Amino acid sequence: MQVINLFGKKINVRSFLSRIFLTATLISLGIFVFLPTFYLISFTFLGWNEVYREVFANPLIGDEHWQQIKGILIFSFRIALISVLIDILIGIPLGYILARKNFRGKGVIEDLVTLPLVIPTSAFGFATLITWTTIAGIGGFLGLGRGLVELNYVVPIVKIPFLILIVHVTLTFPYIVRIFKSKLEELNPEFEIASRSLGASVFTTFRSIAFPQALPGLFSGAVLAFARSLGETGATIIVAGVNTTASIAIVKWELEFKIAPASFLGFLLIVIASSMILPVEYVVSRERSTSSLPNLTEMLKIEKYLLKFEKNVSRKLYWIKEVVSFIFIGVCVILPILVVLNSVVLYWNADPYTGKIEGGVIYQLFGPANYFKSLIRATAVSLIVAAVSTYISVCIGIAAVIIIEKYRFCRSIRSLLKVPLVVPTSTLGLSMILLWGPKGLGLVNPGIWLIILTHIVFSVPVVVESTLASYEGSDVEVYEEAARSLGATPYDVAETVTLPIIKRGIFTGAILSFTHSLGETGATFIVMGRDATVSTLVVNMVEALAIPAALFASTYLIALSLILLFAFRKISKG
Amino acid sequence: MEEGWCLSVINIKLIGLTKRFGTITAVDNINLDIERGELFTILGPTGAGKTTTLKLIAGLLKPDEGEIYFDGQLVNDVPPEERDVGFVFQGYALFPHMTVWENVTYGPLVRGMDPEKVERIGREILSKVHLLERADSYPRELSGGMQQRVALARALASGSKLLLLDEPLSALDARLREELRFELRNIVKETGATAIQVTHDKYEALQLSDRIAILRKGKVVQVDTPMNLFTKPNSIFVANFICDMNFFEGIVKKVSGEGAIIELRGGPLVKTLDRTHRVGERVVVAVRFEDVEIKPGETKRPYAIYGKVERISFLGPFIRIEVLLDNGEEVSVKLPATIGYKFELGDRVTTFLKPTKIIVYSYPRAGLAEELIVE
Repeated sequence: MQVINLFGKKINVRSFLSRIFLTATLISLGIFVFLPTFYLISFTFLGWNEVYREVFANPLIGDEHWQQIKGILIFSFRIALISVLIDILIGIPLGYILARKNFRGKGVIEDLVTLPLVIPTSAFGFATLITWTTIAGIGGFLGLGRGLVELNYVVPIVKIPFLILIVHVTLTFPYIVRIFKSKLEELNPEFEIASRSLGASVFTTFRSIAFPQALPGLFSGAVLAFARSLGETGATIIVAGVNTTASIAIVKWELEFKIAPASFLGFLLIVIASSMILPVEYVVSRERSTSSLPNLTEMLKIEKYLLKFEKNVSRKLYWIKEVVSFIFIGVCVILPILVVLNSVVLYWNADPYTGKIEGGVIYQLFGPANYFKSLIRATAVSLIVAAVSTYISVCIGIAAVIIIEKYRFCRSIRSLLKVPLVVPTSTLGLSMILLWGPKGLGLVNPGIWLIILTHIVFSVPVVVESTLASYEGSDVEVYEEAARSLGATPYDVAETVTLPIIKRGIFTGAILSFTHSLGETGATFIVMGRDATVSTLVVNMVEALAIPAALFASTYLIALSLILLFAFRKISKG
Repeated sequence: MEEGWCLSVINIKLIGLTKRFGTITAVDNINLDIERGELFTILGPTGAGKTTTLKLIAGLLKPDEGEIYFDGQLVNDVPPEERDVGFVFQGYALFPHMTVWENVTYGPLVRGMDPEKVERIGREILSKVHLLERADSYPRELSGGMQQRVALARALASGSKLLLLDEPLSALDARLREELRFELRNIVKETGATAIQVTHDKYEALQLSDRIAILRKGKVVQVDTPMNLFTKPNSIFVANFICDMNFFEGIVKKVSGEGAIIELRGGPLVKTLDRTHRVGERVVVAVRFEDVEIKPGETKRPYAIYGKVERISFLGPFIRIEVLLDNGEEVSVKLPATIGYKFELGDRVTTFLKPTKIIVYSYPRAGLAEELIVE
């Protein structure tokens, strides 16, 4: 072992270097990821007097802000809860089909399930909006002469605006499908064969064997879906109409300089999100977690009817899961995209209904408003942001994976990294601007650099998660030990064994983080200053009622995300 | 046996059963008759189509051709959950999220039996496999042998007409496996169930079974009792697979009233009682390791073959000596260790194939080497 003399002390070079590596990684994780995530909490506590005065005891409006926050939170929770329930209803059969059946076109269905994860949400929100509420959408196909539903139509019983619900369900169901599916795939199919040979029907087998074992997956998927719904901004802001969800409220208040109520709401959201994800992480990560369902014998009174029912369902209604899943994907994922494409063609030269060229795509892009120029500029901003933030995130992410795997005390970092994933992005944006912006440290002004810093916060966890998955899925440690025994140094091992094996996980994580960055709206809105990205530009266009320009920008974004989806598929399947 | 899980014992008939996977014919025109209450073994090397046959009987796979009869009833289109078969998997497939009790009573429950009956069956069957006191344990808390017994109990408890055992002992270590062979046979025999076992372990098959079918490349080669298989293997493949045997190529020189003289490659002659082959026919002479006599030095006697000791392996109570014969072939000899100790590497020896024990086969069309491949 080489030993050097430093400040009169003898130091082992290798352990010295690894200590530097550990410290540097921890510091960069702290500065780039955890500080922004949790800063809002300390900000709220430090400025508690001001927050209290503004929120609870404003001399003019009293506790009006608090009342608003309460209403908004309840509204947001209702949306998230109902969305997740619908997600589960759709996600279970769809996950089961994708995990257990083989059919022509399965790959396409898998891609369509992944699409909502990579599609820029503002573009998707806009597509859903015109599909349901305008003559260009379903209403037009049916010949109604108007949209199928009103913008502010509220679904009875659950009292949630229809459009918000449909957008949230579509954007969150992939979490449940993908995690549930991969849990089912991990399961040895022999359990199900054994159950059937013991006399259980297909449905009974699913309920009593596969489902309980895949339940932890469903659980963690549901938490992610819930958090995503809570934090969804881009699509919601477009379809919300007169309604305000928590993440929209933060964006609005920040833009109106109502920092105190915005930060208080953000503080509540961070606390709620972390208190939700951390216990779940703990439960799911414990290996011996047996989901003990109520004993079958005790429920035997209903059990008999249930068995008979399940037998009938297995025999006669087996097709229902396919039909429900495919109709849902068709209506909620494929249809809006088709409508947008169709509308771009219709509106290309002029508004097809009034005939005015001012209502055409060409006029809006190249006319006086010159949206084309803004679009080009926004594209440049988006690509630079996505590329730089992904690059930095991959660097930090790989280092983080290494310290998580090598040092026992770093294991908890993995769970902590889930928090930025579930914190609503608009809250994150607020936290960023308060921390780095003119009112905080004054180091970074709103603009492209602050966008990059913000996107790093949620990109690092994405990269770490997918790299860790491929690290743990490929027995890397065995190969590392083999390489060490053959005489490789730790550095050689990392370069020649570890990195090549986990390469695919890193690429997958990079693409996911790139698409996240491209589609992110909530945080970007707050921190972008004058450097708009494409996805925020779509929102601006819709708010300026430049519908044809928005149509074009949405098509453009959807095309971009389809290309990325293709790349994602190529890499993740090898 | 008490009513409830008393098995209505059935017989099984397979006619022309065929299953293909793509271009590979995994099971090729299998015909078998399995008697009521029989413990029947399908024995064969890896990839012979054993497990596929079992899955076809259980209904987990659909045959491409052929018919399966349970007690004279055609069951080809009956789904697995209605065939009433108990399947014991190689890795047991015990449900990890259920206790031993829940695993064992799963079958009766999903078949909609009354709670009292379920309770009674569970107790009875668990006490039969001596695991009643472990009823509340989870499978992962049990030893391999215990898990094996739970798997067996679970298959029995669902009141199956037929037990299908897919390499039931292969996940256990060698010593435990030998102990459990008798226990497995006892439990199955006590219930009186018809049972079909699949294995690639010949000792397991020979010890456990009432009858054995030898499977090779999807085809049944021989069906017989263990004793008959061992003493009268009907082909070189079976002889090689079941017994430890030496094989030599030769040509029949002379057939007389008391037997035949066969000339092996390179000239040595052997005598056999088998007279079924014509003079001049190309044949394969087979003789078990233990049916070769060996003497130190070169002793003159008719039909002796000389050689030198090439290798000695110590097998505990036995010693195996491999002799390189002067005609260039090798012969293995199995001796009790008490006699075998006096031979040393390089010794000149005289070997003699016992005429009464020699089995003569016609030379196989595909060549001898091809017939001796067991993988």
